[in-house]
Amino acid sequence: MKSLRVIGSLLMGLFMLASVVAPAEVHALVPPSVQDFLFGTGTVTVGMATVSLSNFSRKERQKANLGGIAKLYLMAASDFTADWPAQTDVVAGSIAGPTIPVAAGKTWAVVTFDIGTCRVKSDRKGKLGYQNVGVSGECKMAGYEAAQITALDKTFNEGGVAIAVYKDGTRVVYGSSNEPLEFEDSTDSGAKADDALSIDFKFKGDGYAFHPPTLATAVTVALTV
Amino acid sequence: MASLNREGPFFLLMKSRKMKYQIKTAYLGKVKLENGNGSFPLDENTPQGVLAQLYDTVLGKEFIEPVAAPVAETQTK
Repeated sequence: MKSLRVIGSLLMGLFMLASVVAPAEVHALVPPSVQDFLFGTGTVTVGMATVSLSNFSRKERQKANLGGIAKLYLMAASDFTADWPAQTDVVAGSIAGPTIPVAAGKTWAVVTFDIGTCRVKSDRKGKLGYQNVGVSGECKMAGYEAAQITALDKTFNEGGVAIAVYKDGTRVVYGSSNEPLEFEDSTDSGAKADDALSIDFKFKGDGYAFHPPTLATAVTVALTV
Repeated sequence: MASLNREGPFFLLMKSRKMKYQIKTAYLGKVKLENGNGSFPLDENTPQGVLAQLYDTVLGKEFIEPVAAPVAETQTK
């Protein structure tokens, strides 16, 4: 038993000596998962997970950061065949897919809005221990025609899920099938010829565990042409 | 003379190249598929290569179908 302790001490001594003489080589030999434990300068808590914050910062400079929404797609909550997105679908803020559980042949409705009128928002709020995320969105469409009203009528007392495509092509999912977005619309004739004769379309949802997650590139959606 | 292995990778590749795909009639010109790389309208002008790629996805099989299985070659003596 004593000899084992002596051998262990000798090995540890050799390891420490090697770390001083050839730190890069020793570093390369140690698995990445334990490098922080062996070489980190901070303290390490063993036996329980540490809860800590991460750094967060603005987007890096010299890259585009355009506001506004380029495209908006909607799917009725009743067309989903399973809860989506569930909390388990969202990993590190993104949904990997590769599929979205909608009934066979169902396609996402495309909302064609006036340029520069669509925006989406999310906010996390609530008291400590009870926080959740709310989302909302809006856009404006020129006109007041029977076909437009007929399409809007399909959102009457029907919740849904939205995919907003940002200007850089990022697709973001708003709402969920088990906490569907509520759709609202209003019309305005304007008062004189150069006023906007238009339809305002809005949605809102509340009670999500996550900010709207992005869709991975590989996830394919079927859109109504 | 050794006989050719007609189930080998080369012949399977040749078979897959012979496969032709079409958009299911109910969806022709009415649907487009979109992922993070772009969107692909499903109409008469969609190239066979694109249809073949989309057919390989779970969603693609809902809207695209193979035209006909390649005819098996019969050996003649």
